Amino acid sequence: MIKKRIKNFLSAEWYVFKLLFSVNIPSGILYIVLRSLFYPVSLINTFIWKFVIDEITVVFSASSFTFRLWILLGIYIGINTVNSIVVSYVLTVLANDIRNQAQNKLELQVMRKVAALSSSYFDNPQNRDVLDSAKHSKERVSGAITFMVSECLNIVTFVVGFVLFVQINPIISLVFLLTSIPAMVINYKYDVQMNKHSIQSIPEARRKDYYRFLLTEKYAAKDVRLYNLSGFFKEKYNTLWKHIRKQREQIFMRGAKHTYLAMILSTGGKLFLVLFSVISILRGEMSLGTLSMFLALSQQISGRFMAIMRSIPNHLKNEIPHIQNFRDFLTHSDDAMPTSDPESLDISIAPEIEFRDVCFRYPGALVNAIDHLNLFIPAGKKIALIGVNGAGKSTVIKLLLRLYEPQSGQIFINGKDVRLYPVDQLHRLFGVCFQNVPQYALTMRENIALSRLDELHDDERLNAAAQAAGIYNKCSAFQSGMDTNLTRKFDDQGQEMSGGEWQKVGIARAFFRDAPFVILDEPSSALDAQAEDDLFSSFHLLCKERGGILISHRLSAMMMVDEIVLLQSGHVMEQGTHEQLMRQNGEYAKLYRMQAENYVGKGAI
Amino acid sequence: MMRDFLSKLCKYPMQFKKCIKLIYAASHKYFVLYSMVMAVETVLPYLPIWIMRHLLNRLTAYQLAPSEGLWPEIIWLAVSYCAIFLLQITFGNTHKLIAYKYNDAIDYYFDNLLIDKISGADLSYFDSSTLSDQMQNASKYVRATTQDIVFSLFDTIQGIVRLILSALMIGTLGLWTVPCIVLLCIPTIMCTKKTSRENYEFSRAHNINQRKMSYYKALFFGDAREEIQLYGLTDYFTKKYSKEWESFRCAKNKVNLSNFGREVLSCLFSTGVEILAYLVAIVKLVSHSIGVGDVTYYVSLATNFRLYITGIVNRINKFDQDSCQLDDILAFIDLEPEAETGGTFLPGPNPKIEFRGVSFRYPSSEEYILKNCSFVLEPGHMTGLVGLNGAGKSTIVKLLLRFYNPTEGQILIDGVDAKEYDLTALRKQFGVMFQDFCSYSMTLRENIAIADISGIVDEGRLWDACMKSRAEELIAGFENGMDENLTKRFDENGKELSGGGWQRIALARAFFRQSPIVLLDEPSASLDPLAEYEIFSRFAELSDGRTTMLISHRLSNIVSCDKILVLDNGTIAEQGSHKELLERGGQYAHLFQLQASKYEKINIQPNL
Repeated sequence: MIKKRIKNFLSAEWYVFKLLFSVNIPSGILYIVLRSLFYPVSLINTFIWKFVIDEITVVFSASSFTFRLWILLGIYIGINTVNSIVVSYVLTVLANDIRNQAQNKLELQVMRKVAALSSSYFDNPQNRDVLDSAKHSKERVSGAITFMVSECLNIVTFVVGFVLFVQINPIISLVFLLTSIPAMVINYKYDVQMNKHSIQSIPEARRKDYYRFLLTEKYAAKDVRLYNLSGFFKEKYNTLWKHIRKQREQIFMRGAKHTYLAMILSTGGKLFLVLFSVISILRGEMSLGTLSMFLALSQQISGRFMAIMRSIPNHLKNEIPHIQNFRDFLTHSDDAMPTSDPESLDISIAPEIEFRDVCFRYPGALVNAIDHLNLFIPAGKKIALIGVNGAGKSTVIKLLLRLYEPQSGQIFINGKDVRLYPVDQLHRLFGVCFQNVPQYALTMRENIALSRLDELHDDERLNAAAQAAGIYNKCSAFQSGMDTNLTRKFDDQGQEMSGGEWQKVGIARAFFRDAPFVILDEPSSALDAQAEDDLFSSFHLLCKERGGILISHRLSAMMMVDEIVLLQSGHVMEQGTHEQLMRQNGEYAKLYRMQAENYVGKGAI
Repeated sequence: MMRDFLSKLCKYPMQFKKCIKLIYAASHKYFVLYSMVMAVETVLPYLPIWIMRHLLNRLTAYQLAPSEGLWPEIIWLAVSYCAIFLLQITFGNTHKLIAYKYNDAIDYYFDNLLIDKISGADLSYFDSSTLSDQMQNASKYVRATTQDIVFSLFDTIQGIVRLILSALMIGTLGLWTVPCIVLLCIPTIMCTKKTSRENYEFSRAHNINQRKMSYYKALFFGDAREEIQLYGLTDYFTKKYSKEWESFRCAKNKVNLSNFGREVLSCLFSTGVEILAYLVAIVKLVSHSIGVGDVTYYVSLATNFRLYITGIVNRINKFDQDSCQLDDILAFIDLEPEAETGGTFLPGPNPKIEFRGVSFRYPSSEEYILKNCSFVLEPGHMTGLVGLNGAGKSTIVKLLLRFYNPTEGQILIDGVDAKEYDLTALRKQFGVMFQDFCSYSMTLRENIAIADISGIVDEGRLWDACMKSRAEELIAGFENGMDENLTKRFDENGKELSGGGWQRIALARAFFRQSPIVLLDEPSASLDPLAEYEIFSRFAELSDGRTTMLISHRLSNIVSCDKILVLDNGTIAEQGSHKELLERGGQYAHLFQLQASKYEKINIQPNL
């Protein structure tokens, strides 16, 4: 168990250490060399300083300059100056740059990995921590890159300094060390507590932030004003805050109290050191320089020790788990990745699709979202999926696109299991308008053409897609036309759009894909009657030769499709043409009459 | 340049005064305590240097001519050196403690100030781009800025005092050293200032790179992930990411390179101060006009002086930036709300509402959204509002709720201008379902009772609202009933609802409000046909004699309204009952036919 943990720790450590060289080997080496060269400089300088002081005493008693003094001073000042340039500037810049480069590399890896993982990985609550580490790799992984090097050097310098101290004067050094240990222990314990608290209070802090969001952002602004909610939210906000504050303060105060005690003890150590040296000097057993050196050395040693005691636990507790999570994320592989011998797929003609006894359950859910679903869509035919909220309509699409893998059953395209096709080829078959249309802070052109980036500059097709989706007039009214930035996130001149307009952009995106199979998931929920009518006509027109799935609550749109499929609790309840289903007089006929009732009067149907 | 410098110099006392006033208001107690600690800490570093000076002087004196008489004095100096050490670390610790508490108090004070301001601000603040930017920035930076300003303010003052003290103390070596030191410092100051400005400008100019980078990464973790996978957008976005990164790094390297020369220069010049101190001190040492302790004393002063001088430039720059940011936040806090004020009139039990010649445009825009709209909402009547996307339907709701005031014309409630009414009492008259309603990560109970928080424990009312909106079907699947947490944001077992599910909850809110007037904006957009039918077929019964306004694209829901208003391009194009409007053959008739024709086309009788 422990062996395994150590192994894990070492491999995580090795992983971040390697990052130092991953992008640029020379700068990694340069960093290590410079760091090692300059780390002990301050320690060396305390010794030089001793000689300077001693020489000054000599000069003072002899009342004449010595050549030695100038040399010593020159060395001392020279080292100091070079040190401050290299350490405070060159090394900082170098370390930042290395971190920056490694970070970039990691971020790219993360993005590529996310795109390769199946959606169920993201839904699984177990993966939450791992995903969190991947999401915040910037803060949590690349920060640790230089840790190894500087911590090793820190330890070495501390040990060397201490050994020297002991050799020069064992009694002073031991007394000094013993009296400073309590302070270090207290500091360490206090840090651990603070850390633990900050981890424990994360849920509370997140909740607090949520109330702040409700109070200060546009999202709930109308509710806050209409329902007079600012008092209600603010009370919750402040209660949480006060609670977090109080807890933190308690730990802080406790820590502070103990720190005062520890200080008195460590002052005792210092007193011993100073008095001992002073008396030795008075007795003629020690030089003034040695006193200065002792003072400087003791400060350095306790400083280093304190730093080690602070950073190592923090590293182990906060950084290592993230690094391990992060590696788990990067090395995770879905079982559902493409097979070794892929079938080729004709992406120019409409596919024939079949679901055969498919069952699917979302990670962590109690019931099947898709339950023994059997569904056949002949090539070039369009179907409509209808059903109450939660019947599994969107899930069918996600399974078809292989964003999720069914637990049992198979999905066939052109008679072969979908898993036999390479995923990217499979995806080429579909142009999809998802229910939540992603709103990109990019240009209108990009927003439409993302579905087919190789034709980003085909204005003719762009305009046609915009026209079909009913957003063309809007685009041409923009000052920069298609190249207008949407949203004001990165461009003050950017255009904000309404929900209905975004929906049209999403539809244009699906059309622009020019795929043999078009899927529209509730495309008209935010559209007015005219826009909806236009949309359904263009769907009909554009998809003449293509296959398609239309999900809609507007049963009037069912005339546009070849077949209607009514889903209930994840399986097909009724299936057929409008005419067949009406004659069958089942659930569909009931729903249809309900909607039609107010348009054509109760008696008419 | 000199004038520029002087005017800047005059600016600082004013800025100081303003900031001190503010942070004093946040907490009197900690302000006083913190100032005291800072005052002591200002002179504290000089004490050990000073004692060490005398200790070393005595020790060398003893070495040259040992005499027992010096012992007590030397021991006393050694002890006080340690005492000062204790004092120093104690003050350091106390400083940390008080700073922590002061920090907390300031955070709390300003954040509450800002939240009060934002939650009380007009809704128009959120719609106007400049105001919402200002508001967002204030909200985002209030914490960092107010905390930073305390420290940069005190640090700046402390730095200036220390700089003067050090210069004076070095001056005791000989008055002529002071101008020498000042001269040596000028290049350092100029270099540091330039560097600091370049860094600031760099981060301002390239902040957008960073923001874009995090945006592209966030896309992979958000709604866009599915599209990225489907359309194979990974390369496109990673390329964009890399481009931003390259441009960021390139600029960063440039800045670093140009800073390097200055860094070396300023380091060399400030070392000059040290060298000067050494030279003068050693010359004096040889002539025995000062002792060994004095040499270390002056050298330490010179070293400290070098640190202070670069420190002070950075601090003043920091203070400059912080106080600019603080000015922005204050400018926002000082804005006065317009619509959010009301009169004292209280509305009657079942008010009649009239729009009389109402026109509206956003303050920042020239374009009218509503033009000369006149209509009446009779008490107890159901009114339908119809129009294409962008016709101004939601704006009417906003005006009714007095989120905005009409630009021209009046809204009369029982014949009295809406502005005369008490705002809270006026809004109490409305139960509303917004088109973009909120989904709160709270319990179902809270989600519904949010419309009237005082009734949160009234089970009867909650259930009644749920029955009316058909939300009771949702509860059937919840183990904790009304107290089930919605969304997984704070509770792993929380329930995620579909769009239709949330819509029912939003509808329940409007019923729960128990107000005389109900406004429903697109209540059925994501409802399935069954739920839609069950709600709207009984709507008259559900609304229970309340005045109702219904906005919908699904005209079937509107058919039974007492009156239908057709809004076209900001004007009331038609109004009348369904029958009247159909006979009129205008826009409404057109839209209705458009939808109805789909249902008329095939009229199939069931197989019997």
